Amino acid sequence: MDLDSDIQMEDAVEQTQAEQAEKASILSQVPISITDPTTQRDTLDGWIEQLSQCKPLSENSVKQLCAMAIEVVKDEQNVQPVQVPVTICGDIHGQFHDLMELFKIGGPCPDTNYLFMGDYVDRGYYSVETVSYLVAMKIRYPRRITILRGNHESRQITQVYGFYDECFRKYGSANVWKIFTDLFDYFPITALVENSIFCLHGGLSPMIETIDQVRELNRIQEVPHEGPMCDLLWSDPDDRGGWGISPRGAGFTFGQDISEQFNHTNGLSLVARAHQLVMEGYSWSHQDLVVTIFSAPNYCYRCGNQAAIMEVDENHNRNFLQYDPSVRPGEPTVTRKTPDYFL
Amino acid sequence: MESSNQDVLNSSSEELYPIALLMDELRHDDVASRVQAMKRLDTIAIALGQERTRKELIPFLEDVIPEDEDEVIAIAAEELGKFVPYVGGAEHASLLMPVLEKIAACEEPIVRDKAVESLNTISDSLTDSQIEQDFVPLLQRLAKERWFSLHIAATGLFRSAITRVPSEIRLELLKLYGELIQDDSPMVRKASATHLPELIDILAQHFSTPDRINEFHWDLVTSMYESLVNDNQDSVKFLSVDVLISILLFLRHIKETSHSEDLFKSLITLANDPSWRVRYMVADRFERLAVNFNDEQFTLKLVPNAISLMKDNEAEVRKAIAKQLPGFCKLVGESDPSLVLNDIVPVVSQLSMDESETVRSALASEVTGLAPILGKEATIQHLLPIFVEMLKDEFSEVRLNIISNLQLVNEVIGIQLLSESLLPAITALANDKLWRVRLAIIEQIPLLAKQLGVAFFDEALGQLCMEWLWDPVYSIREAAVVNLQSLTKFFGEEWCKVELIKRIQFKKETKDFENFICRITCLFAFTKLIPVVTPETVATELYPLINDLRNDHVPNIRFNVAKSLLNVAQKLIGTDRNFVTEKIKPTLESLCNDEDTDVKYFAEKSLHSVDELLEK
Amino acid sequence: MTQSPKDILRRKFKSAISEDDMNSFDQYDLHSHNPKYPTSRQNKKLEETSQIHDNICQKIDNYFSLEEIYQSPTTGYKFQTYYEPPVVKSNNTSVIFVMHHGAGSSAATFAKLAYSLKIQCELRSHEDKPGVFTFDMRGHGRTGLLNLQDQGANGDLSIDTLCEDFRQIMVFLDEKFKGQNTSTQYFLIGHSLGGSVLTKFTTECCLNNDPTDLNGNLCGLVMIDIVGGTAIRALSTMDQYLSSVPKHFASVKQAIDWHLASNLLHNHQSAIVSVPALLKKSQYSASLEWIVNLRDSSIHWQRWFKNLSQEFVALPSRISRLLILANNDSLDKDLMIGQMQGKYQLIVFHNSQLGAADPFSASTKMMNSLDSAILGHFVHEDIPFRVASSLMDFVERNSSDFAASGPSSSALKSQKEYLNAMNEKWGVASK
Repeated sequence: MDLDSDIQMEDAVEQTQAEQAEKASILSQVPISITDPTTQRDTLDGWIEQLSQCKPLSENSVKQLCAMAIEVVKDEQNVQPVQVPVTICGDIHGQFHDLMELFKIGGPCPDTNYLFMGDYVDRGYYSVETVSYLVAMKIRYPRRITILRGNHESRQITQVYGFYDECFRKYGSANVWKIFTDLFDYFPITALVENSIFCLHGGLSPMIETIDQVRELNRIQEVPHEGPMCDLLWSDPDDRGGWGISPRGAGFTFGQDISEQFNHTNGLSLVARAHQLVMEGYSWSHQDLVVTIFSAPNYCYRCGNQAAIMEVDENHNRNFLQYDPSVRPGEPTVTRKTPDYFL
Repeated sequence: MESSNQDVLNSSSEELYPIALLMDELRHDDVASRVQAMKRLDTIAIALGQERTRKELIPFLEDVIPEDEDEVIAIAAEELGKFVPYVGGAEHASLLMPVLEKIAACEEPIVRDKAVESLNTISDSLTDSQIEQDFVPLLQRLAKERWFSLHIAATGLFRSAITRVPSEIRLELLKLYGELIQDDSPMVRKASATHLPELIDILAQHFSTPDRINEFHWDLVTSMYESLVNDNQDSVKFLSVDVLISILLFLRHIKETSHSEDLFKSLITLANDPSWRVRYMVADRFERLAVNFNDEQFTLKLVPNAISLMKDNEAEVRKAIAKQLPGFCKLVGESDPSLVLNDIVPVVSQLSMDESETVRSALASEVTGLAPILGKEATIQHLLPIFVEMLKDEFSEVRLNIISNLQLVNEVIGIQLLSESLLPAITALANDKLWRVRLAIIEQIPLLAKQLGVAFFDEALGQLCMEWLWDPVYSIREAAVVNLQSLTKFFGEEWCKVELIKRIQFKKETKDFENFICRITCLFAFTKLIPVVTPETVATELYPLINDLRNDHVPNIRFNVAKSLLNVAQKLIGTDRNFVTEKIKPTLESLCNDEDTDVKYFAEKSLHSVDELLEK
Repeated sequence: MTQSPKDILRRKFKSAISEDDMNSFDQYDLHSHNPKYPTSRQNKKLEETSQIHDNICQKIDNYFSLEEIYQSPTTGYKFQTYYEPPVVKSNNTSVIFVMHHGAGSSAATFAKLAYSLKIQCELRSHEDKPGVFTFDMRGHGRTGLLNLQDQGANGDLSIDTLCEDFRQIMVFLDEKFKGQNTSTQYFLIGHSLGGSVLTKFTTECCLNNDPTDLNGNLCGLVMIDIVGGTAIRALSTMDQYLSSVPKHFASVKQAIDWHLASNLLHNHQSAIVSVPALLKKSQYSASLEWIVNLRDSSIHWQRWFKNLSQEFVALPSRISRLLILANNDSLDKDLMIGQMQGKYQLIVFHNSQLGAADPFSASTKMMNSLDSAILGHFVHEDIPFRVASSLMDFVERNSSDFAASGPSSSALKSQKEYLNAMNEKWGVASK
């Protein structure tokens, strides 16, 4: 990471003296390109305010934002520990107004703690605003919000499903796309809520039997097209037992016998994951060993599904909140270009 | 990008450099680079100076632009519209036209529109003689080429020229426009029909005085209208409705009524057109049409048409006319109120049960507007039943739209009657599945409370207001908290203590308080009450609970305590300074050493403000 | 984390052909009129093939070794079929791609794809090679010409008839393997309307427990650039489109040029094979005219795509499914839900970034403006090599036995064996 060369001495000193445990908190105050922590906080608050109105940041601000974000997330663990109470959320996919709706339902951050399980970009119209907003919140309140990586937080997928095009459209070049996808490499891939709920985007991997094996992975890279890291972001639970070939073309399917074994081996009560659209917004599988949470209502403005988030309180009680698409006047209508020729 | 921009500015003295750079950038393989280069066109022009912009840049652009991608051309077209100062002002402005003419020939609508827009902008700085010598010939060339896209471009340019040319040319131009209105291509007819109302408005503006009224060319304008009304394409024909409105506006302005009968006939034909899009257009513009005929005789004649549109087969048409009802009924009511009540309201009642939810929703957002027109008695007798039914609609938006517009009804019949008839429906909606419906109800509560008085309120709605505090949806809890504050303002402190504070304090003794959401809601509620009760109540009733939460194991609660304590301090600083220094300040100081960064941050922030309070 | 033998195996496959190679292959096809592959990959037979072809047009005959006319026993209607048999060396399972073209097209649309599949196998060092079978559908291509005397039958393009045609042809194809020791796995590939026919056929097979027992041998279904909901929406613009199509061409070259200029096709090398197969000599003049008049089939259009997406998504999970789209991720509601529930694999080839089109390809490429606007609805003609590569990946992944014919060095050869090993490691039963 390139820090500005004219970074203030006292901050540099502060950083070297900081104890490892406090590193994250101090890092959040270390200015990247702004010299005074107060100014940085004000800048971030300004950005958050601007983004909350669905107005994208300038390319330069995105550059600074992602530089700061890397400093915050790079030291998080592959299995990032998270405390209760926390509200766990699934796919968002650029549906910015529905993300705002989510905060209206679950309460604003930082008053409510959040854990997002990836897929912030692609398909929706506001991927740039959505991911900028979440990343800004992450920097401003690193202890209050955790953002994991989804299979769409990748260079390859975003080129096909919209984020690349959206960046190009909104900024006139691919620079912002590049900056964000470089940042995605640093996102943690799983989280562990109070040693009890294992949270990740996709599902389990045949090559991962213990959570410690996740800790050993080198996650800072593009999502590979196979192997354990790919599986964690791509796999799906299945009604059939054992491991199976995933119809998606990446990851695996895993049966209840696998979930039982994994939860037992690792002392878990639950695997919470996203990745699959479920019509009610959440869905239990494998006799309540696995839950799927999907937080993009009426996905891609046409699927007619509800969205949900899962509140886990300090006594580990779980409560699901379902919601519908936000009311948004002036949303671009979903009339796509019809092809000239199709026979 | 930034640095190359800098280079351009710095090197403005260097010969040839900027244009070379631009040429390079404009020839870049990457479209994005060319787009960026094009966006900096003004910088380049400034660097080059006016003469070289005229002699080198413009010819260069003429050369490269037509070959490029649409997105690059669109930007060039837009930039060139601002170029008059860069080429040396109005006298050289004509120079920009050839390149824009080429761009206007583009088939991509976005690009073409940008070029037309820029040509219109440039025309503002042209003298009348330049308009005649340069602009009009350009327009004529476009209109006479044998290609539809050029004709479309031409239709957008008339407005800049039509009033600025001598009489005989104007006649020529209008005739030319008349040809475009009858062009072979429907797309051209559509474009010319779209621009016609604006053109009529411009003519009307300039030529409505008796001495110049001939210049309006009534015959040509009406024959264009005739031709649109009889067009065989729906998508052209429906545009004639706006043309009619412009014609009516003109006639109304010059107080001419002799043509009204004929125009009215044509409107009736349009209102009964076989194509729903045409009928939709009439429905959508219904009030404006009635207003601009400006004659109660015609208004009354329109009532049967309004009714048949309300019964139209096509939902879009019914939806459009539903939205026009209050405005139109107001006009009708001014001449014959009984017609509204006897003819229109029964159909409104039918429409409130329409099979299409979007029609019902549109009606719901407007129907309360009928109350002021009908007056108190008729509203009670005829409209209230409709409202009550619509409040029970299975489609939430319908319910929401009724509730959000009850204020109008309140003004007509008074809250007492309103609440008596609607209260059962409202309490049912207070527990609606959709949180936005619940929210809309909460937002009406202060209004209801004010009118109902304490006793009736406590009985009917008191319990409900407390229940909303524990709603699963945050926004409802938040609104409930704000609601408590408003209620305290009306009903006073004693009521607040008994009905609210006690009940919330009681919550602390229950198992619910083990839940973080319950605790933080109590904290929010008490914090919100601070400004509306006396300092004594704050110190004795509210502070203890807030203070107790300072050691909560959830950091989110602790930093909200830190925020809340500042509010307490602000309230008490005037009456009990010691309380602030001895109780609040030490708590905040200890929170400043909290292990959680956010608690620290908010505690420090509050402490800083408290110190400022104490310094005053 | 140690690498599994499977990983090593896969890497080996991937390393055999890099992304750059793919680009150059497809671009060779695109930009050069004389296909000449890099020397290292030259193959004698291929060279010969390219020599027989002139630059103006090629015949589909050069791409298939067996051409047979199949006559329906029930109706007497004749079909022109084309077949390249599989090569089975290392094990006793053969994989056959069965391809069904779309309305207004012909079997020749798959010529370059069939050829590219062959090259893919060589690059991947597969000893076994999948077979390719295709045919001119009712009223189309040579089938249309074979039945010129029966215009009524030629024009009966209802979805049910097309489905029945395909069922009979499948039985005919399957007969070829009866009595042999090998088992056969079919991967059906349908372009456009073809995709719809195959989806319907597969659905019926799965529902009815097809007596020909094809059912058990159907392994995969691939639809190329067809989205039911979008197609139905586009029907309203078809009339306008058809009006813009010339009725006659003075020469084959003119017809090819028209296809390229109107952006229907983007690959000259493919067009010189596929376009000639669409035309016949006009009876009354020296010009060429279409074999098929698409307008005549308009009464069938609505039903062609009805419930297509629903049926595709609802197929049982043992039928592996792949949807290949060109440019537009324009899924309708059913396909969108299905994709987001992981029911099938989706590959979108994109004009603007061909280098990264396959979401699972190994490396990341930045946008290359040279690649832009080179693919459209006939994506398998525009970039046959890319599509062939995706199809081979799909087969390797989803055919339990096929990958076993790859390089023999690795211990675990097929997906099935890999899964068995993993399930054993976890101590659970295999599916």
